[in-house]
Amino acid sequence: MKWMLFGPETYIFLVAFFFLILSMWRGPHSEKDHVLALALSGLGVVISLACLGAEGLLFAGAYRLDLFSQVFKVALSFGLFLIVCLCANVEEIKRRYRLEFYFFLFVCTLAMMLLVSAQHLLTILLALELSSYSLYILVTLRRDEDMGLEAGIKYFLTGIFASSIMIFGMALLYGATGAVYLQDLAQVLPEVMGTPAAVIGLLLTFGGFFFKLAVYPFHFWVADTYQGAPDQVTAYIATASKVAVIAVVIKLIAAVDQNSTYLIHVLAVLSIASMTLGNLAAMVQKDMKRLLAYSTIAHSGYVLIGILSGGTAGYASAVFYALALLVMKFTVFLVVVVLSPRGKNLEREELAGLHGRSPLLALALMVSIFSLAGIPPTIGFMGKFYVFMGAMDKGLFVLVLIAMINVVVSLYYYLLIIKAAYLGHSWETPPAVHLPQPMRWLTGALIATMMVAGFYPTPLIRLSEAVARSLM
Amino acid sequence: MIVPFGHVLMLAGMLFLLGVFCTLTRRNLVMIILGVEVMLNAAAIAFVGAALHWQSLEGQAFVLFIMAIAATEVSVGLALIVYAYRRSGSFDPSSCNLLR
Amino acid sequence: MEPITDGAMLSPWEPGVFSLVLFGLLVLAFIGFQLFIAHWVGERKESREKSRVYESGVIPTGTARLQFPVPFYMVAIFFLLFDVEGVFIFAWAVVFRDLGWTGWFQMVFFIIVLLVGLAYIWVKGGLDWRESHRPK
Repeated sequence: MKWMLFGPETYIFLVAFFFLILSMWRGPHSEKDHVLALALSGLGVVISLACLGAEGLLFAGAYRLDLFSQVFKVALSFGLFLIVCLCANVEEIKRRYRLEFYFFLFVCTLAMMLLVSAQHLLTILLALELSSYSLYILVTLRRDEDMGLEAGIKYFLTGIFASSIMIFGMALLYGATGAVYLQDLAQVLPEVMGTPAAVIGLLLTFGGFFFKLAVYPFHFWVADTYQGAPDQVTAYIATASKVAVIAVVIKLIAAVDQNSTYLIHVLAVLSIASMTLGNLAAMVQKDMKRLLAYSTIAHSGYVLIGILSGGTAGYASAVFYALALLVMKFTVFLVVVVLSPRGKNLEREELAGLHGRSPLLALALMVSIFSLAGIPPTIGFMGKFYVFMGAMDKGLFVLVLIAMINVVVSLYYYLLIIKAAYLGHSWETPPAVHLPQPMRWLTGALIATMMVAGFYPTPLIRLSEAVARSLM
Repeated sequence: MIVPFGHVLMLAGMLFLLGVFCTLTRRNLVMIILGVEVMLNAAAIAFVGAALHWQSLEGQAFVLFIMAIAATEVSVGLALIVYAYRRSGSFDPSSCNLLR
Repeated sequence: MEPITDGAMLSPWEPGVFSLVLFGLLVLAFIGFQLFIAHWVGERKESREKSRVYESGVIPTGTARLQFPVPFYMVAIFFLLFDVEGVFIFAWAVVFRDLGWTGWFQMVFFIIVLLVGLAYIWVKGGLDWRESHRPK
């Protein structure tokens, strides 16, 4: 039965539909809805794990299931589950939109699942648009209306601008090659790589994806959107959405890039620009979410290094980095969400005395920040190490050197956070943070994951390599 | 096809640039969205031209979906704009300066 | 998708250029002639009555720059969304026989999804005409 291959997507679709019907049926009950969403998204993780081995082509070849897409689907449904874990107390979303909030979260995850499997330009386009539109609305749902509205408008305007650039790029690409399937594109493109229509089309097409990935010339939206969006939505954009976009960029580059040095040069420039800009801008930020936004830009630069190194090793390192980002970014956001004062954003100074208020959260913050900064023995260090090794093998020494300098620069603001959490003193002593028991387990599990994967990354590396091979 | 493909691309390119210009220079939310619509239509023209050029229907299928995307964009955009207008009383995007 | 050899299927419109140009010239000449005659023969006299906005004979009141109540914009958006649905339905209807029951079920699914959207709008009061209405 071919429809069994489509399991995770069908399931997530049905859950989203269920929440839509539910929102018509009755008003929101915060507690009940959260438990429901938690159970349903947990089941989603199980189902996507069960479909891990699925392989095949659906919808006239427009939709491909292989290890690559299935692993990313598991990562996405896991990311959704983690985000739903944070939604126990969605103070930032207006009460009457709580059910719609879950609806859009599930729809967005569905769209990203479609995105990692899509093989046809049209499928890619539609999946990307569906996920973007869900996010535009999610960002605007913030209770503090001025902030949410402004973040939403900025995100929306830059988003539609970038996606129409991408659509025009696809049109040029189609005009130059006549191919719409990625595998056809891979065959035809090397012949026409010299023509202006193909080159411009390719660059414009990638523009749309770089917008989602927050790479240098398309990074304007990131800081404002992260700051203005509800915390949970920001966490979602920073984790699940980034993983999906990294996946699709890997897939596109793997299809398009037939050792064309031209594209590699462009990617290298963008990578350097985003790393440097992200790290330098992050230094002066006070707002935690804004700081994390700039750190996201920098991390997109690191991922691009892995992608442009190419070959199985390069793509595997990018996949590894994407999975690592999911865990470490989420852990930071967990701390941010728990500590955020009601209806406002968390400032870096407000972390002061965190060690006294909640040692577990302080530990989680320290491990995840070390991981983001790339200090051993954490998963983030292994990710960076792996990416840089791949690039060194390709002889991209200068690029790695610049990236290393950037890592050192980024240490400054990462350590400032740790300093605030451990050594900072606040004037009045804030109350101890009360964490419910399941959240404690979750935090502990995340810390353990980051440390264990830092000490013993071999299984994850094997997995990433298998994923990258299934792509080639 | 009487019109050479290059000319179609040229037309689409010019329309696209007009749209980009409109989007980047106008200081009115409605006009910005209008500019993006023009860009989308430019892409649609390029797709139809390419479909004729390659004698395949896929380009035309793209256009149908671009129409749907444009409609979605306008409805979400208008909803946002009306919401913004009610709160701030202006269509000027530079009144959005809270986040920094 | 295999390439289509029959060019007429993609664009059935193949105008003869000469007749098109001739037709265009004739139309332009006819319009120009009428304008010229009207200008030459006609009498020009400005008056308030003449420069008034034509509203089917009814004397207009108030300014034209009024703000429409918000429900109009809601209806406009809903119309737009459900109107575009027609694009896909027409495309499907053209090849209805070739697609058979599979296509029919896919279209039914599509329409059901849209109907649920309509139901959502209805339940949340989007179709309510009273301006004072606030969504639940």
